[in-house]
Amino acid sequence: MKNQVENDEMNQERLAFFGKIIASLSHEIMNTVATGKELSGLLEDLSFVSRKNGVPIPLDRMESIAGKLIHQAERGEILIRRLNKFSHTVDDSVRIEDLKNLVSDMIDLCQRFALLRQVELKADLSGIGFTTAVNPFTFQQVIFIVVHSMITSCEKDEKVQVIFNVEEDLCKIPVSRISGGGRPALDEASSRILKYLLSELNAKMEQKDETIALIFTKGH
Amino acid sequence: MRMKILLVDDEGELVYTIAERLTLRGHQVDAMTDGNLALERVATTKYDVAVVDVKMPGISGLAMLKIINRDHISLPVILLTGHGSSEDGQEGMDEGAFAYLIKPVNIEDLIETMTRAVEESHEKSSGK
Repeated sequence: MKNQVENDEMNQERLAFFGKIIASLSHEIMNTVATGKELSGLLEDLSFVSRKNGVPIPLDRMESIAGKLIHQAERGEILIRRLNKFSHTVDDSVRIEDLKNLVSDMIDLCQRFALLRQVELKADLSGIGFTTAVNPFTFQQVIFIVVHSMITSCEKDEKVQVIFNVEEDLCKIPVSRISGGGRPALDEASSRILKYLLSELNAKMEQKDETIALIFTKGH
Repeated sequence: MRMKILLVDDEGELVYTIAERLTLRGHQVDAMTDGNLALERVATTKYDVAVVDVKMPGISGLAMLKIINRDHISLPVILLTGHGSSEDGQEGMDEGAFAYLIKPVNIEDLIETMTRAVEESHEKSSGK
């Protein structure tokens, strides 16, 4: 009975995580669409004024607006690719993935959360990758919980840093709050969910000062 | 009616483009991307209406609304919300916003809403 309750709760948490990411991405996509719409509207306005006054729209003005429209279209394309890639993480319960790519994707997805808190989120992913069998959705949920908790515990202008380290058969991902102050990053609920998910991934966590390190082994 | 408008949204390109479109229609617009700076401006400049995004870094549109209402009761505020976050808009209405519009907005709808807000504000201040 306890397991059933726990499973239900964890499924609810998975859904909540999925919803948070989709809501954040769709919000950003909507901003892109809104900006594109206004830029197109501006072109229409300038054409109207130009026709009315018999003065052509300066070429550099046209080029500037066209450039901004292209930029918004490219931004939208990146966001939709991220949305699509993230949505496909639920396709397989286990698949072969480079964990570094999954961390990189999740850092991109977390940037908006950091921006809203006025926190700088940096990642050092310059080292080698770590390819293994993994549940990509659960893995990304674990990264999100830690990074998002760190961001939320930060004050304005503080920094969260994620490093991807590989040592032989171990992959260690320390997530650090560069601030001081010693506030706990994980609340009780997040801590409990994280422990549950880490056990599913056969992984563990080390917590020291301002750092939470996630440790994964091959073939979990 | 020509209005003096304060427009606040952290999406720079969006806010500056809306501002230019409103300016082409004869309005005077201050476009800002930082809510805290916008609050400083509100303290020193008289606007007819403010249009404020709900979700912004630093200070949210709702928090701005509360401060504006506390200090500048005569400034009507229209909130901009993302699609699907209408509960933010409703909360804003409860806090005294004149209206909330869901992005992307239609420029003519925005002007129509701002005009109504300014007219109602003038009626209130003249005691009608």
